[in-house]
Amino acid sequence: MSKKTYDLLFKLLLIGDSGVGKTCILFRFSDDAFTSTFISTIGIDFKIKTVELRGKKIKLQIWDTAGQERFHTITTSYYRGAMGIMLVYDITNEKSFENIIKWLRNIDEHANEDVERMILGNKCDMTDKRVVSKERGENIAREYGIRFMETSAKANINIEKAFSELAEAILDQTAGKENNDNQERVVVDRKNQEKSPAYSRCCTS
Amino acid sequence: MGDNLKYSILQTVEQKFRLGEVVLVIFEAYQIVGAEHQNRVLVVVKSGNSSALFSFAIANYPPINLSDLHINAVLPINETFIIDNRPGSGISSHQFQILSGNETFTYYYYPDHNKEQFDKVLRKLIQEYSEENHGNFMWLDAYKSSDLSEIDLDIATNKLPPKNRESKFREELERRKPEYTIYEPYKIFCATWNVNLQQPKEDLVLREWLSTTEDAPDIYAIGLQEIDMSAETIIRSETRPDYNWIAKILEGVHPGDAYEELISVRFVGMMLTIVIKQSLRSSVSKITTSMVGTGTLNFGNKGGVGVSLQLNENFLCFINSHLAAHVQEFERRNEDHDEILRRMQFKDGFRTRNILEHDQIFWIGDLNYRIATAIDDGQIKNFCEYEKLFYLDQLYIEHVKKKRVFRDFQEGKITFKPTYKYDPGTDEWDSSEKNRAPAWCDRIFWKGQKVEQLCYKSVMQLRISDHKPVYSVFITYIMTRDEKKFKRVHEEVLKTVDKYENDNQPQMTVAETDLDFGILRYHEMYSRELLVANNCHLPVHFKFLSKDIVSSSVCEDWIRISHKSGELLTGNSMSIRIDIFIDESSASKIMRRLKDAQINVKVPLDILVLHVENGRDIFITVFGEYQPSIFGLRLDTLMKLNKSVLEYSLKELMDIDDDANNLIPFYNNAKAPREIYLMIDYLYRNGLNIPHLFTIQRRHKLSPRICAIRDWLDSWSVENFPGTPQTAAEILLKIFEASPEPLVTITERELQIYVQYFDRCKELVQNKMPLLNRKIFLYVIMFLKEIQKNYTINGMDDRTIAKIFAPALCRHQNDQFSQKFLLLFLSNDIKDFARVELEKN
Ligand SMILES: Nc1nc2c(ncn2[C@@H]2O[C@H](COP(=O)(O)OP(=O)(O)O)[C@@H](O)[C@H]2O)c(=O)[nH]1
Ligand SMILES: [Mg+2]
Repeated sequence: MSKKTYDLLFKLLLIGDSGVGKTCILFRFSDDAFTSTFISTIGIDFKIKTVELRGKKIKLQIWDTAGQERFHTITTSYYRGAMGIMLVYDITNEKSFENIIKWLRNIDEHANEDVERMILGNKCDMTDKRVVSKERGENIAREYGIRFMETSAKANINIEKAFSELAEAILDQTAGKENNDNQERVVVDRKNQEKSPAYSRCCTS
Repeated sequence: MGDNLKYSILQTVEQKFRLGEVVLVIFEAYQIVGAEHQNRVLVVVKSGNSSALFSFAIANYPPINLSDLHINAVLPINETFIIDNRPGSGISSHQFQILSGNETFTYYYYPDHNKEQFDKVLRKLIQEYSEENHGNFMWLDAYKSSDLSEIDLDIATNKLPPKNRESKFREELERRKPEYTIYEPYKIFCATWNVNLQQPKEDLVLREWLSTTEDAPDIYAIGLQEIDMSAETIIRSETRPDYNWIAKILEGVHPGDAYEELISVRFVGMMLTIVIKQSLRSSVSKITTSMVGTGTLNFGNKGGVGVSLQLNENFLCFINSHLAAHVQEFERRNEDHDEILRRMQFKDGFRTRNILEHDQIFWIGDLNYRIATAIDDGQIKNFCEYEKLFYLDQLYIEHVKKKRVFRDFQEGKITFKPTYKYDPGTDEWDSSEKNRAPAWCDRIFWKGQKVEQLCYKSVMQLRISDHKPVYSVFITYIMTRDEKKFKRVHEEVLKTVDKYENDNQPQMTVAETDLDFGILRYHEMYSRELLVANNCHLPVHFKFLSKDIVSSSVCEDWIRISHKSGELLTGNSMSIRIDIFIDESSASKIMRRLKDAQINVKVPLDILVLHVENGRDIFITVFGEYQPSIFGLRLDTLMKLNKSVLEYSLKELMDIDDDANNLIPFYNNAKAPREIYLMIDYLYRNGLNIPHLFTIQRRHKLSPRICAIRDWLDSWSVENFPGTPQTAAEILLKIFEASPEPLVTITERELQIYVQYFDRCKELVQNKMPLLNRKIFLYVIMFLKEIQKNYTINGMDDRTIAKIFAPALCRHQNDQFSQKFLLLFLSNDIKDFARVELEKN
């Protein structure tokens, strides 16, 4: 058994309106815990978690973005390096669902063309406050040809599954590319651990 | 507790321990930490002649995985260990205290848990210890390793770099090695024989020596000395193994298994051959050899040969040596021993291993130590009770008494007759002229954990040499990875390492992420302090990042940041000063930025990205409102204002500014905006004779009167002008510089082509500049010509004037052409041209 800690590095991004539960989803996935007392993210945060898929150890570096309106322009500059993006809405918040269209457009404009996307309808534990039906989520996902899942960070529903499906989709893509002699673009060099949002880090000092 | 449950907990607990460490009893208790009850499993473990009480914290109840249990105390059961069962002071009758070292631990337990068995075992162990009063507690060291989340002070204070993920991973895997390693027994057969230059003849059978055990040994290490000591061999330093002997050895090994020669190493007369079971070949790796000559000129008639190899997870070393001869030369032998120890190196790629860097070492050979001649040789020969002579053995004296050689090595008890020196072919002592005294020349030593000697013997019936062969059989426990357990630990370690990486992200806290500057006015300095602190246990390097790839600036140009990057050690904080100063170049930009601001809805002036290296980015939003001033408005707009600028909202002003087609009429038919007129008019009256009215250095650029004049202009004041000629001159320049577009709308390229020709330049003014700009331009030029006229008094020559006004009026990248352009107008007569143009409507 090899002694290196991972074979591949995938960079994932969580986007969606403020308050839909992005930070909770990430915390549930990385620390397997839930707290309802998060201060809302004012910036970009990330956590890592290593998963094993098809015998490969994959280190996921997951970026959590600030959802507030005024940060939208800024956060789009972090889309570019992402290999997978989770679009999160809150099933108890109509507006957050409607905004999914906006977020999808944002991805089109700013993310890599081949980025894997997935829509998450979060807070599905709050059945009595639901305003967005599961069908509507499924419909929009079908329309755009994207994976969809309802999740709950609080009740730990589908969180693990969502990340592993997204990672698997990226892995599929990676494998496909490898055959097309396009290896270098996708298989992340293990040494190149420095994360790279679009910000030009080199010229600031 | 239920028996089934207790049994399953016991099973989990047992996995925490290594072979030879026996769990005697477990007991469930709890401790009260703060207001919390924390479950514990107390485990009494015995290893060899010592025992200890382990207290485990339980992460998940009931504990099923190894990671559910964490050691929270290890208490050796020694003279300081006391269990105090007296009822507690009122809290609970179900409590007891354990005193160990200088510490006291209080435990509580549930009434339905029977504590008798636990007490009984502890009492017995305490009793045992007090009787023996010693014990080897070294085995506990493995459990005293540090907690991962502990703060490393050296890292926090930047003395050491933080550990990277890979090294943490290796460290953690190594630390948990006991959890996935098991010890497997291997039988090792060591043998040594000085063959006295005899060739292995056909009738020689080595079975009597090498096949003397019931079970087939796993590994043979067979050392021969004096296989050939001819002058030629010595001079050539012969290293080619002697295959006659090897073949003989392979014939002689145990018939109960299939063997193969693993490797042989020869140096002149010495040869060491390792033979292993064929089935073991795949478990052995990193096989290397080494040789050291110590005889005269290191020729190799004396010295040692060695083999190093890895068997599963352990490194083994075998050495065959032949040390200096003669009774009196024991000090030479000691030195040979030292030299072999010092010089023998096993090179495997880049890694070099010396003898002592092995887990188990077997050192055999003709060590040549004799019996100190306290009694004469004849007597030794006739002596029957050889064990009584043993204390006169030089090696016994050097090894056991003086501890001069083979330090930390062990030797078994010798129960055989001296192996030297016999008349070849007999079991009779040397009868030659030399009449050598008998000695135990041929010996076997070992060093290492978990080695047990099964026997140590000589073989009388092999008689071709003047030495008798010696052999010893060992059981060694070799560390071996349990792949199933390893996989599980590996997974858990990955999780730990992920957690380590997440927990060890450098983090910086900022006191506030919204910096509200309140009302901002043109040409005033505003500052806010952004307090940042490092509350994590790593040094933090931070820097502000630029938001777009094109420009490298990290903020709008009216903002200044005192520290664009920096470093903060653990526990430190600093204040980053953020300044805002709206000057000529930014006045119009900030108005455009804020034009959509509504009452009570703040529009960010800028968002700063504070990046922590290897960590997160924090967004800091800068808010502020702008109090509009005439600076930064278009010159047309100034013409259109029909009341003081203070009476307009920013939105209204921007709407007027956007009125490109001049749908809004000018307020009156003045030739220039009111503010320009006021400055020039004042200067006509007060400034023409002032030396250095305008300076290239712009000496009055930051004069405090600037703000007073700003207020006087903005409020359409009827008070006396609050400035001086010099500051009025500065304001005139600032008005032109602040306007969103330059007054002269002729491009640099156009000037470059036509600047030689005054007529062409006049045409450019007529054709390329809007009427208002044209009028203002000529108005200003007429004024500047007046200044220039007084050159002898004020020192303002046309070149200086052109130099100062060209950048303000034209704003070209390179002022070369615009200066020439201004000079043309300053040095030619433009009265008629100006009159015509100024009359136009
Ligand atoms: N009931 C419920 N509440 C949730 C869930 N996920 C998040 N929340 C709550 O939603 C609020 C916003 O969550 P947060 O993760 O900060 O949202 P973010 O702004 O998208 O990062 C918090 O009060 C959470 O406790 C969920 O799955 N179920
Ligand atoms: Mg958040």
